[in-house]
Amino acid sequence: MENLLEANNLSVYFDSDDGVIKAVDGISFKIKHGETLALVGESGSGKSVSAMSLMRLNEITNGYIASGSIKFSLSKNETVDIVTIKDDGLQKIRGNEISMIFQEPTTSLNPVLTIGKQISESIELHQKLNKEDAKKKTVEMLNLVRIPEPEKQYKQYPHHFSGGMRQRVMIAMALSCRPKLLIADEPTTALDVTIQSQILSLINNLQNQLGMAILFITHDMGIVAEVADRVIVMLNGKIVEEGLPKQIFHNPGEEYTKRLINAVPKIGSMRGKKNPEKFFEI
Amino acid sequence: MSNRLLEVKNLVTHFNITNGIFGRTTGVVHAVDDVSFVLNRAETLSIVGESGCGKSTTGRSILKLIPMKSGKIIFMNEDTSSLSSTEMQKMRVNMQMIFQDPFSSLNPRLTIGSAIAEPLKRHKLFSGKDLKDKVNELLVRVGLLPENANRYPHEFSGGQRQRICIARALGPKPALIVADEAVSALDVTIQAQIINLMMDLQDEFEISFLFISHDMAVVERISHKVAVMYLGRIVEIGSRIQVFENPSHPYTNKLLNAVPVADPNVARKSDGLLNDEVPSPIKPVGYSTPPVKMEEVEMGHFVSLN
Repeated sequence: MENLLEANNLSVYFDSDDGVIKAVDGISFKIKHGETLALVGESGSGKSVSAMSLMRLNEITNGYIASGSIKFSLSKNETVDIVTIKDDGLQKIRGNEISMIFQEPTTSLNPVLTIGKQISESIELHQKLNKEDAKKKTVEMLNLVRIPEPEKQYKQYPHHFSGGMRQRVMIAMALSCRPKLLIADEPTTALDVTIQSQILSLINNLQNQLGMAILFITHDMGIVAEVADRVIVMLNGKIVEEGLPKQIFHNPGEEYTKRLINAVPKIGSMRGKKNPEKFFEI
Repeated sequence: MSNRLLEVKNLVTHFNITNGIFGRTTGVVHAVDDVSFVLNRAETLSIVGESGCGKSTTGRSILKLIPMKSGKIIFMNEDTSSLSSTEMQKMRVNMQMIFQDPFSSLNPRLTIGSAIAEPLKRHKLFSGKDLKDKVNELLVRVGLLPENANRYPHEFSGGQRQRICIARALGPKPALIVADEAVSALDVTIQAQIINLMMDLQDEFEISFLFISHDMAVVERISHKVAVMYLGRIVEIGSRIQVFENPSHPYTNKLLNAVPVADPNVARKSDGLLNDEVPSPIKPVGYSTPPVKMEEVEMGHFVSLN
């Protein structure tokens, strides 16, 4: 398989008192090696649920993959289907081949473990290193994400860190096993804009260094313009449009994409205009 | 009638941090540290800044929801610090607020009709059939059907709830609405609709908005004037054109540069060598911040020197 990941006719459903909720309804997409694919949509579009399905994490919230396949390239000759793979195979993939960072670094970190322990635990588990070597690698990772004084910070707890720093810790943890695919689910939404800018640059730098592909989920079109090699637009569980950033922004084909692009305030667009301006509503 | 609606002079709002069983004050949060600005009728002044800069506290201090430490608030030619609580209650008809979270700002046990009627009843502006008609009129004005009056908040989406909050704020016919991150929690297409609604209402009713936000791109769209806040102070203030096209304070530049541009032709992937955090606004007890010194860069455009 030439691509890193190929999802085909993927559906994720939730059972509820009101019937079946089709959070993701038959989507197909691919992720190429080393590329950044932006998955964009508003709330309820199904973007987060899609992302979680790539590691079969939906079961945590009582969702289930109702149909489709997710083919993942483990090596040149070995491809697995994440939908059907057995539990021990899935364990080898999670954290190791595919890794994820979330929006809320506060709730994604274990508050009773030091950040150092959390990262080295993951390394010990996936890379079968002893405690000392895992600790060395952890300090390396903390350095990589530019956390100052990493040996000292190793012993600190998450509540000692600010939101931006916690997100760096999350990134260190996610990248410690050099995954081929990093799933970033709104990683900067909870951060101030200047911190966001630093984290986005950090992620970009790390991608250049480590060569992983990134599935970047966001509702912020500004971030999409900055990070994406390709864009997928989702609405109500379906893919509405797919294309290169320039196409999506300057020449959107679909009605919804046009509405989305029109609704985004583009900084600098008010140059020379004296009075405030309404958004052009389609 | 003067065009000047609100004048804030040297506003200072501090919070004490207490520790231990005796409640000893061990530090002071300098949330708002000498803020001054003017807001005219039918004008939108945006206060923009990152978390902890003091923008929300400024809004609440102006509405006297939080007691200020010192300063003057002159609203509709009245010094609000000299008003008795009954007089202030009368004044509150003219100043309303919309909050960030449309979920927690509506009482889940009141129908939305009752929620909208509440301030009108409180200030004895309408009653009986007139009240019902007014509520329906407000619902229609914000783009909702009057039949919805008997439904509860949980039956509406985030964008619809924000419309309900706007209807509630609009009822008493305020001259000023403080919108505290009022669109930040909304999807981008809904955000655009709500912003358009606010601008229509400004044209129709000559309402002034004090628009508190962290989103520079939205602020650029909606504002006549912009004040940039950092650590409790205004570091730059001027017309929207002045602040966005001629940013003169290093922090304003930093903020503008950090905003991702929604245009792949312009977007740049920056270097990422920075790793700085916002300093703490907590100071020791008794610390007195020196008064703000502003330089006028061009007419009406001021930049802080300290």
